[in-house]
Amino acid sequence: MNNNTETLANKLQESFSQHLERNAIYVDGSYYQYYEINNAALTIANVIKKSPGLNSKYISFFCSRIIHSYTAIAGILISGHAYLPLNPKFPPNRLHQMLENSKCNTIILSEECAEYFFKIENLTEKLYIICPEPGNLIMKLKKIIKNHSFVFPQDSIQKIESIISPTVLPEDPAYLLFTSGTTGIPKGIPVSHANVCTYLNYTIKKYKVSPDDRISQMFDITFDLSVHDIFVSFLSGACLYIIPDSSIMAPAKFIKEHKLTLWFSVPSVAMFMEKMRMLKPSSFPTLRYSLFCGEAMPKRSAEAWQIAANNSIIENLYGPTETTIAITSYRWDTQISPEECINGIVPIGWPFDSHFTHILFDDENVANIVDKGELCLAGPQVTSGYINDPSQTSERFIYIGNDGKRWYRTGDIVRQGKNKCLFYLGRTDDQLQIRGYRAELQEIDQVIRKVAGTDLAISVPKLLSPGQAETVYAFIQGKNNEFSIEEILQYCRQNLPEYMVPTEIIFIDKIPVNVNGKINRKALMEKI
Amino acid sequence: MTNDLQIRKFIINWINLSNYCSSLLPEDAECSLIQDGYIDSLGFLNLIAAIEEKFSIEVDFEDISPEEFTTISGLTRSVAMLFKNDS
Repeated sequence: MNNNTETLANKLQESFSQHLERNAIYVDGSYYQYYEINNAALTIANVIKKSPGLNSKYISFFCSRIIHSYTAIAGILISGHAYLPLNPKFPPNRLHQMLENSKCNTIILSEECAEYFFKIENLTEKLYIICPEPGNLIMKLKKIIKNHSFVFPQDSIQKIESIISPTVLPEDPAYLLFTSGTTGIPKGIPVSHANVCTYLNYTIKKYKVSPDDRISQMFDITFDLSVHDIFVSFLSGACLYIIPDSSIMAPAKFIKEHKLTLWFSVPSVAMFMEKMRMLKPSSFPTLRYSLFCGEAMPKRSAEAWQIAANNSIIENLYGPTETTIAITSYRWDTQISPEECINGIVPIGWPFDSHFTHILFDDENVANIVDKGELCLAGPQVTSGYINDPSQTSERFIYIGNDGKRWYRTGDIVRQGKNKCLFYLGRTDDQLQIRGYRAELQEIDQVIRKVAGTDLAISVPKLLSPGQAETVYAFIQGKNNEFSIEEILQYCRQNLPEYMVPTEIIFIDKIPVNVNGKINRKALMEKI
Repeated sequence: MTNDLQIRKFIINWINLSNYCSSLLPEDAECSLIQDGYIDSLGFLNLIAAIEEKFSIEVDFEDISPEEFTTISGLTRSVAMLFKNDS
């Protein structure tokens, strides 16, 4: 457990210094050793510390999953700041909101993302742009762009100095991630050093991670499950294998070639690989542990994966970003687990050590006769709330009873079975996961309503299972010729991540309403 | 007798008739179906199911990397290979 003084920055520096000669990362066909990551991170940290003006709490980086992302994360933390990842798959307006909302004034920018970055309009604040490996494009942009300041580490840092981490407190943020919000503006969740160290200490010990492990990294860095991959690996002196985008949906060959030992992905990857007949008996004998998280895990995928990863322990993890990566787990047992699944879905199990669960029923008086309710979570991984959003924070982070425990209301409906094992059943609200990404339907509605100029527009998910959607459709009341579909879709693409952009816009004479006059999303779902 | 051209035509027609792609793929298209955004991973699974039904085969891409089987020509080759292995 967290001993209340440790921070991610200190833990990183300690581990780097112990494993300097070992391989740290495999990416784009090359290995990088810990001393190389350490030097690159210290260079970034030196630049941040020595350049006046680079003083925002959050420092962002804008790269895809290339080496600079990982050195940026380490450098930002070692400098005593918190990192904010930006994703080139996000539209410019969303990136703009993330920068504004976090009051971030410093960004580490890679050459490959430079052109896209300058498509973010209305960046009025002066930004400090650190360019670890500037190429022709960045040098060209530097000449044109005058309202921001470019910083080139190789010019400003002659000698890499070790850094004594400044006074970072365990309750200070280590990273900031954004999730979909109901108002149309993404919600920022700062995760503290204490939150994430609690998770990492527990996980590294539980899975007995060692410097000999070879760990998968397939999540986008804006997805909090990437925090698990990166730091479980870095703090153990293991080697992190970045799975290229082109292999991400079916990485069977990659797992075999690199003899991976720890696997972590969304269950869809297992489902996809099974359909491609990639899960043959003993296909992945080197895997020790296979972890799945981010969406409901079908029993069939667990069974198929166990056949292929015959020496592996499989665990189904569950946890919202607000409670740091994952907070419950269920260990798959070939003998008894198939019987324990409900509706073909693997249970989410029990909370991690020192964490608590509570099920909130609509009416406490009926708690004895109904067996499902909203899951609430408490313990050291529960974060402090949303930045600049006290109303959402007080709505979702609550006190129940008088024991002083602060609970996060997940919005997930669960049932508790025998031995208090938890089963995920769906969502309480309009939030869902589209292809594993969390999304609020109201956020999509807001964007469509704005561009279409009508409140009679509503998005509807095409569900694969409760709370899990394949894609979204949008209904607008009116006639086809009154709106430009392409204009609506174009605006959605500019303002929403790709997975939230509707597949189709459908015009309808009248949007159905229920007896209370509320839009009847369910009736529309039957039309798709 | 199923040849490469028949497989290729079937793939392109299927994508063009589906709702996944907003622009039509020309017959000589050469692209990465998922990475270039012509289809998502679930759409790709549906395409594979359609190929299996049409040609009465079972795909087996165990040792083929996704870079290969997600391009039009790579998928054509991978499917054609299944016929060769059968005969």
